[in-house]
Amino acid sequence: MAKIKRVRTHLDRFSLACRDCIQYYVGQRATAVNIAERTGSRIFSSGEAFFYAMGYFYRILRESFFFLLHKKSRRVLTFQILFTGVEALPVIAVISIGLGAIIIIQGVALLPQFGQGELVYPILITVITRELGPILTAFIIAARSGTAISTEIGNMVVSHEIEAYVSNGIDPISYLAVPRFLGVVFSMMLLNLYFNIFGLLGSFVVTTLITTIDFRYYVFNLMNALTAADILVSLAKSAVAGAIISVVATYYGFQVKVASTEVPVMAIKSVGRGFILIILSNAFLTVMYYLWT
Amino acid sequence: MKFRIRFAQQVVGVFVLIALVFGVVVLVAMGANQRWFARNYEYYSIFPTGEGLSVGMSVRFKGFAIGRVTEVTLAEEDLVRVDFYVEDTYIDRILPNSVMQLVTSPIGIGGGLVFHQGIGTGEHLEEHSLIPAINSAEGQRIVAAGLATVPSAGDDITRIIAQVEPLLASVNTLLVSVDGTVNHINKALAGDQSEPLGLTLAQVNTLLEEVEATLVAARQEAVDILASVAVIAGNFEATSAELRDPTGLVPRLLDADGSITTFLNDNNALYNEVEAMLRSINATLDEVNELALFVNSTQPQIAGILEESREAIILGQDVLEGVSNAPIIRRGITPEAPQPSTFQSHRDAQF
Repeated sequence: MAKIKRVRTHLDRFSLACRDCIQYYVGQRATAVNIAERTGSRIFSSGEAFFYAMGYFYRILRESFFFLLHKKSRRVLTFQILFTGVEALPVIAVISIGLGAIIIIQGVALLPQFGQGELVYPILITVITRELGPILTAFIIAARSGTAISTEIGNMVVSHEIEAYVSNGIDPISYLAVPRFLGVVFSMMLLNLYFNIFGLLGSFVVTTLITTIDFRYYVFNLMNALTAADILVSLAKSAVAGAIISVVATYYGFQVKVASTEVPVMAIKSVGRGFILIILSNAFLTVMYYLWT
Repeated sequence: MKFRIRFAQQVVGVFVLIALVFGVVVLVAMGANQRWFARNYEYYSIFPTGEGLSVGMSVRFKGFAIGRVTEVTLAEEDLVRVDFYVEDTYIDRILPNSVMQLVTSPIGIGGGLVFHQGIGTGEHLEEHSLIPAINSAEGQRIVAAGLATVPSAGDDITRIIAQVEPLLASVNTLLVSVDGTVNHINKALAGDQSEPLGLTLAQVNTLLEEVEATLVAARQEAVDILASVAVIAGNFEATSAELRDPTGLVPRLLDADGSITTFLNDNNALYNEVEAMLRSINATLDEVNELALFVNSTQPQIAGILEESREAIILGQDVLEGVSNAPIIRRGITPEAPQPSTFQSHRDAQF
């Protein structure tokens, strides 16, 4: 009997050890399955969100076309240009005048030392018109108007205004998103022109306080250095950046569900994603420009 | 209500209008500067090589840029086709029998595509027509016939000469300056100047006079020194004559009857005496050596005797002390008759 008991004890221990091993193996496999599942789920959700955003962008574009045809909600568009374009003008003016003046002063001081005094004009055009002008304007508008738009729409969602529009048969995209989209795009292009006005001419006025440059000579060289391609790519960058800012801002505004605490979170997300997309689009357009010219 | 809210439409309208006006003005200015709206007339030419030709290089006529090269391509028969345009301002200059010349300079000055106008009047050459190169058969025929105004080929040389001319002028100025300096020095040397150079020359003259006086004095002293040296030389000469004299000191010393010879020829008497003395000294030194060896060998025995004697004296002293302190001994020590020792010191030994 004692021998039989000992054998049973050993068998029990062996069976317990086997059970632990099996449980450990199953647990490991479950963890691996969970990781794969989560990764796949995230990829699918990201893909879904991407296609949803593309569909949302397509809806905005389509509604914009009808908006321009029917000229409805013009007042919203006007106010959007006022808030985004006119009110951002002082900031844009200060930045562009400072940047242009620095380029002219440094260029006039340094470039003649290398026998390349005339190079200051292509540098001005490259920096003010083609590269930094659109992207700096976009950053300012994204930080200033992008947050305002996403916050405003988010608060409208929280206060059930969007539901009220829908229940009254008003499409919130065509009534809320499209005027903001068009307003930001137009404002961006106009502000880019103003950035060039202040950056190229305003900075000249500042520079004349320090150095002496003939205005006619300055404008003549500037117009020789400027090309139609520069203007086109600059406006294209502004329009793309404006579209990105407005679409991202309205998209994240509509992403707010019920709580008011979601509003600032979505506003921050809209700015972050907006900056990244602006930089990527700017780089893409710059590459396209160099391939084209 | 705020002003900009109340007049939002107007504010936005002005905002948009200013930007649009600026855009339009820039476009117009740019177009005017870059001749967007002007017409260009296109022509082409054929060259044997594309060396020195590039797209964008200007076409020049009498130093003015009248157009630009738009394309350089390799045409049939390995010839190079150059397409260029001429601005509408200069289209009247493009007459028939005109030729093109590619001017290249080995020193990089004066190169370019140059247009030489054909001689004649009338309409300009039709667009898209060929303007032959000056070194082609057609071009050479036109030049040989005098149908084109081709300036002499010395243009580059003329330009180089023009650059050399200022250099020559500078050299001339330098020569005039050198001439003036030489005249100045001549006057100074002649003593006609009271300027620094003249004064320096006068000081040099005074210095030379002082040097001359010093040399005269030194010459007198040198004569005295030479006289003393002559006396010393005379003495040396007398001594030398004495030594050379056959009846002098040296022969007397070396004479056969002289002292040295006599001393050396005594049948070894003196030598033998000296040798005997040396032998005697040598024997004495051997004995001294033997004595030293003996003393050295007996030194341990002497040391042992001295040590035993010292111990015996110490024992005797103790005995005497005990005897003197013992109360039993009353009658002292029995007197003994003295007996002389058989041992004598080395000093008393007989050799």
